[in-house]
Amino acid sequence: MQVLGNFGHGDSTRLQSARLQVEGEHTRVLALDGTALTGAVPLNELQIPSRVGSTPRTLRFPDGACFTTEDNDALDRLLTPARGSSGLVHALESRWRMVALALLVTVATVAALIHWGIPAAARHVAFTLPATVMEQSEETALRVLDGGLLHPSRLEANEHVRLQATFRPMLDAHDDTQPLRVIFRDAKHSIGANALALPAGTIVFTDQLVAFARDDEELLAILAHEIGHVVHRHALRNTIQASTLSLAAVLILGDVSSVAATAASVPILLTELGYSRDFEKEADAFAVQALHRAGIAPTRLAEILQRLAPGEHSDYLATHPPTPERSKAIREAASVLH
Amino acid sequence: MSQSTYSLTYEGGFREGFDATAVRERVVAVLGLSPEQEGKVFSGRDVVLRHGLSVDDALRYCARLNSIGMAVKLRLDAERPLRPMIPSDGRREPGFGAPAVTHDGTDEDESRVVAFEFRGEGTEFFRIWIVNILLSIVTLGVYSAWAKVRTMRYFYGNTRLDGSTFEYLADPIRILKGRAIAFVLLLLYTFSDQFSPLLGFATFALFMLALPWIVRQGLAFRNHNSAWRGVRFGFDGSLGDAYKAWLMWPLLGVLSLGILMPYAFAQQARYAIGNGRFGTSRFAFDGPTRRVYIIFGAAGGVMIAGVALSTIVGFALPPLSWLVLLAGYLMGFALFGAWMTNWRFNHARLDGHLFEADYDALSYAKLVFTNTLMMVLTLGLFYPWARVRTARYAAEHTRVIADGNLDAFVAARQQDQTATGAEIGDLFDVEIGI
Repeated sequence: MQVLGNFGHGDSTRLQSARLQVEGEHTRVLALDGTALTGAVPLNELQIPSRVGSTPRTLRFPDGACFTTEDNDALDRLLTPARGSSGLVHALESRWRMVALALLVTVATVAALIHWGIPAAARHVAFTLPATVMEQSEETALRVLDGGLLHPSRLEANEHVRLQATFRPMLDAHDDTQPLRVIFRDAKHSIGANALALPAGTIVFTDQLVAFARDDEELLAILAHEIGHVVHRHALRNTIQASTLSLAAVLILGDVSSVAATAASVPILLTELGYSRDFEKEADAFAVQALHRAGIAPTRLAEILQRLAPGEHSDYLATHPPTPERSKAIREAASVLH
Repeated sequence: MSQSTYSLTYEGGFREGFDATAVRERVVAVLGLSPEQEGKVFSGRDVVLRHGLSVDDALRYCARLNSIGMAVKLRLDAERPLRPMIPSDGRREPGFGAPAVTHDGTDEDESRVVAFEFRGEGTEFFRIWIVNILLSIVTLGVYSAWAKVRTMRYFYGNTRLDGSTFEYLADPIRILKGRAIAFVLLLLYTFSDQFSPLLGFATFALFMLALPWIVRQGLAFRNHNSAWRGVRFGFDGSLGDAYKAWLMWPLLGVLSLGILMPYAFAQQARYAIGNGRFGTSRFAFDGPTRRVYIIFGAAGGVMIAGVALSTIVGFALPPLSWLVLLAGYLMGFALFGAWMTNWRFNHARLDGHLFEADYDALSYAKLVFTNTLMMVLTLGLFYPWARVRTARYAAEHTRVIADGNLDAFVAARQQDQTATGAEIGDLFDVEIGI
């Protein structure tokens, strides 16, 4: 039993054609003319690498000498009685059925992680983190917003007082541990009529939204939606999910060039947008319940949404679901309540 | 499974101490060659004398012809189609490749071009890659260290120089330890940045301070675990020089508003390549800084031209302007990558041996573009093919101008290297640029 290959003493790059012989539990390398190049070495003192594709394998002797062969099959046959076959992993890689199974499991795992795993983990973390973390996070976010997008409110002081009084019952009605508050900001030149929920319970209404609403019920409908974001810890969950996603991408694609990394950011962005739309649905569902309890028709939310963003229809590139879909869901949920 | 068969090949050359004409006469007699056949056999080109030989027959021929002074070699016959892992096509010609013990006809003093060759296949690597991912998932990431070693072994083992492949010798356990530390650091960094900018900045500053150490450890680990013909590479760069190249010069680059940035790049290449070692032979690198300034200028110029062009196009056809912008970015990126690679190779030396690269910006841009496009379209499943295509491009566009034969490198005694720095560098995407 023998296999042909190249032999080197391990002290230089000089190699020679040679053959490796196995006799019982020992192995020895001979030159092609039969001269012995190594003594008889016990097989278990030899370093034998596992098989990778069709790449040559190099066996290392205790003294640093090495024998390289491309004849992987012959080497396996030679060593099988003593050392088992070429390895489990190579066996897996060699079978198309196993490869297909691996592909299936991988795709399913990634999909399940994105769909359930990451959101569930983020939810768990978001509800266990101490309040100070959220306060810290909110302070930072508000500072950034006030530094650029938002300006001090231009509403009159008595309007502030009146709105705070209108909002109070709904703010107090929820049974969360976080205290809620509403603040007003001018956003004429940035986000316009809009409302934001920050991580620690602060809800920002823009002056433009206050002016846009036909009556206080519409503002309460928006408030209910934003309270939904706070109660479900959406801001925090969003942060955690985004971080986890990019972390996972780094782990999987750690060694890809920067252009490919740019390519990878596309699916990440799409996934994040998907998460964002899920949050909006969750907040809508919360709002329907809260409005119903407050004696306001939940359809008021659908009405103001329709006027805020009437023609929204792009599916995959939006942070919010299309308004017609949201209105429909709100009306359906509301009809169940009656 | 059938037994392997071998071919008896001859590329000219006689064993030392034999007289060429005498050997020729005896070979003609032993093999019974016609004058026409004789001309072919001794033409100096690679000829196959016999093929389909069993091991025993091959050895018998080899011994007989060697004994009369003819320096013949044995080569494993092309793979049988039975073997699932290797599609056999014309390009593949597996052999032992390396020169036999006999004098192989190469003139010791003559310089010759030795091309790199890459024999990996996308489909073959796909199987390895997907099984790697499966096992990493099943073991909750622990297997990823072994997966990395298999991947590296696949690419090293398929890259050939002068008939011999490269070897990756890293110990997966060491990589696993390094990865665990790097993972914790990455976790801290990602989340600290999200919750407090101050904390994020502090972590970032600490990382920047540690970066030169990480780079040095990474280079040392990679080189130490790379080998060719049984001889390991090595790295002798000092920590002080690492801090100069990866902290001081980039910092001065930023402070000088980018004017010194190309100089910092040049210093990094000098550090990474010039401190490399193969066995006991040191690499030498004398790439001129001037060239790096030209490359930065050209790549920057292409990107700026892209922005300008896209703005003009934007007035007429807004959707098209994005494509122009993307093309400009890609072209600038490819130009930079291609020319920097050429610069690194073309000014590197190892003893008397020179390196040469002829990356072409346009074909390299095509490679990068098609890889990126396919990665997006297949949601990442094209990754194995992209890696193989990149490795093949690299091998096709690089070579060694060898000064005589490559047998004379001597191995060095050295200590093992830990993988921590290397793995941190990997996860944080540190560009060590060689």
